[in-house]
Amino acid sequence: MKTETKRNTALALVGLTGLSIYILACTSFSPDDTKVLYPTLDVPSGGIGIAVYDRETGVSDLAFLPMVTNHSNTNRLVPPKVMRSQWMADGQRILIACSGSQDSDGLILAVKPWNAPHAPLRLFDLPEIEGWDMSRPLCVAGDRVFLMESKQQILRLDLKTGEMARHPLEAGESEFSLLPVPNDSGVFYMAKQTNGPGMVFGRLNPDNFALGPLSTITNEMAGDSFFAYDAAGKRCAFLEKADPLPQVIVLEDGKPVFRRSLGTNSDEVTFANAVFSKRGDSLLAGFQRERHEQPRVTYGLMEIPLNNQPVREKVLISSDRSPDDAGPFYFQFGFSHDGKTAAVASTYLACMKDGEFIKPGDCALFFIDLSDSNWKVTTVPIALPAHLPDLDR
Amino acid sequence: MLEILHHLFGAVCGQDPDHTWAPGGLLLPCCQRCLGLYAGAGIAALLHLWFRPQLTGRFLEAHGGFLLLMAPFGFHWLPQGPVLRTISGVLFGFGTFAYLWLPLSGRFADPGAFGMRIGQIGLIGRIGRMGRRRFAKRETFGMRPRLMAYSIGLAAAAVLVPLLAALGGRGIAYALSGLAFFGLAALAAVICGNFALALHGAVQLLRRRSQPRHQE
Repeated sequence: MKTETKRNTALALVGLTGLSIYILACTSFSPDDTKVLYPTLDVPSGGIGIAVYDRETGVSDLAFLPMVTNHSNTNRLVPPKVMRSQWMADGQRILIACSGSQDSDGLILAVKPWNAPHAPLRLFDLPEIEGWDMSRPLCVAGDRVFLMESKQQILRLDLKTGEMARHPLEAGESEFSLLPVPNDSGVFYMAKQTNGPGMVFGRLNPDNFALGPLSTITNEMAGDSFFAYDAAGKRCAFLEKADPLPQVIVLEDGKPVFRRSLGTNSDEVTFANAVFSKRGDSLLAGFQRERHEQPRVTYGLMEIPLNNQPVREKVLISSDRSPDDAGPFYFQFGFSHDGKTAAVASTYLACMKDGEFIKPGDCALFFIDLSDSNWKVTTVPIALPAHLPDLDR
Repeated sequence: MLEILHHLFGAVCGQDPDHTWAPGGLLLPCCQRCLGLYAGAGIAALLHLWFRPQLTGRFLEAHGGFLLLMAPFGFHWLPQGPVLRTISGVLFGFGTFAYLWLPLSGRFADPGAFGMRIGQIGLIGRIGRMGRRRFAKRETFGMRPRLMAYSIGLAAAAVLVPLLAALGGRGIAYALSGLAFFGLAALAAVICGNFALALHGAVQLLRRRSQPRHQE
């Protein structure tokens, strides 16, 4: 009897230990929720580089700082005009895209290993990429990246072998753009409808470039609208033109299921990127709001509930100067996989208007705790160099 | 209801939306593997109370195997999709509940330990008695029919939980969330029961040690 009791106790401890290990492992599932990539400023060179911020230690490391040819000044290499970085799905590699040398349509892709000191840094120099949309992450399926080489041609690059495959679009397929799927699990596309005024949203087969339409959107999108979609491609949301004010519309399998007004004119608010919240009951969108009084412009995160609850805004930065059209383009939010944190860096905004657009103290990496009822903000300052890069050159 | 469950499961699950079922467009409160774990544990709890399978020999070895199976799946050594993630969770839930239930099962058979048989009260008790009477008619099989019924329940859970999560609508989303909550509560209850048992054992041991020895 005593032996049986001891055995039962030991096995119960095994069960409890297994469950404890499982629960602890599950909450730290995704490595890229503990580290955040953001564009930062390198003080010695004055260039924009890519840094990795470790949320556990609070330490930032500059991970990548390229320099390209500057045709107007042959005595000095300069940092590329724009850069975009993203974690690959394995959480062990960083994919960075940056524009090539000045006055060219070139694109440089870098795959930088993280926490793997013996793995090589891979660089890919692509001479002609007309359709790189910096406002979205690159479209990756497994180890292959998809780009619009021109308006009528898709380029597929294998990041392991460097092999390239090109797919020309048919004559009827116009206004074609590629959209990323989370976790590098495929590629969506948006194209103008062949026999009608609408747009087709679908999935691109990464192996043979076949197009699989998921829904047809006949609603007219407002200018500067966002386009949010879920990972399955069943649900999407955007800003629809309406009189007197544009409305947010949600489609499921191409059919409208929800519509609401934002109560604001699209001339006032311009959106950066937007996503469905983790629970799918709201949209989270980065915004720029222009005003007629001081401050002239504010930047922040907007929550648009998909019910009749009021819209919520968290303003992070304000400026007394009138903004550029590129303002929201430079204010792209990233969202953690668990949906609990939003992050944005104001590095590019700090470089606008010769560095006088925002206050030096507002140049920072911002974290918004979405699980906190007050959306608590944590700020990680970014040091400014003596001479800021010129985004307009 | 789902909002409360989202907060509750947030403490024990990463809730990665890319690894979470969304029957009828409703995102479940825990990821695919955790859904399997907690729904599996909940179903296992009902099967243990209902059929009372003998927790010996092959039964324990098989459930130990279910626990070990989590290593290659949980550490992603094996390629897996949503269905396999959920099935690995269901098996782990059955293994975990069986091992945690082990020290308590004997106590529930013995009314003296807690003063009553929890498995015999209320609706669960009535259903259990009904099920056991049905199987008792086939006494030629001894304990086997109970084990067989438990095994059928396990196999059905491993198939139905991912199937319903993949194909179900909003009603299924609420049902699966409720089942996962029941499983979480069942696991919490057996963990508390084990702690109570350990405390009870420690008090008994201290009492025995503090009593003076009789000299003959």
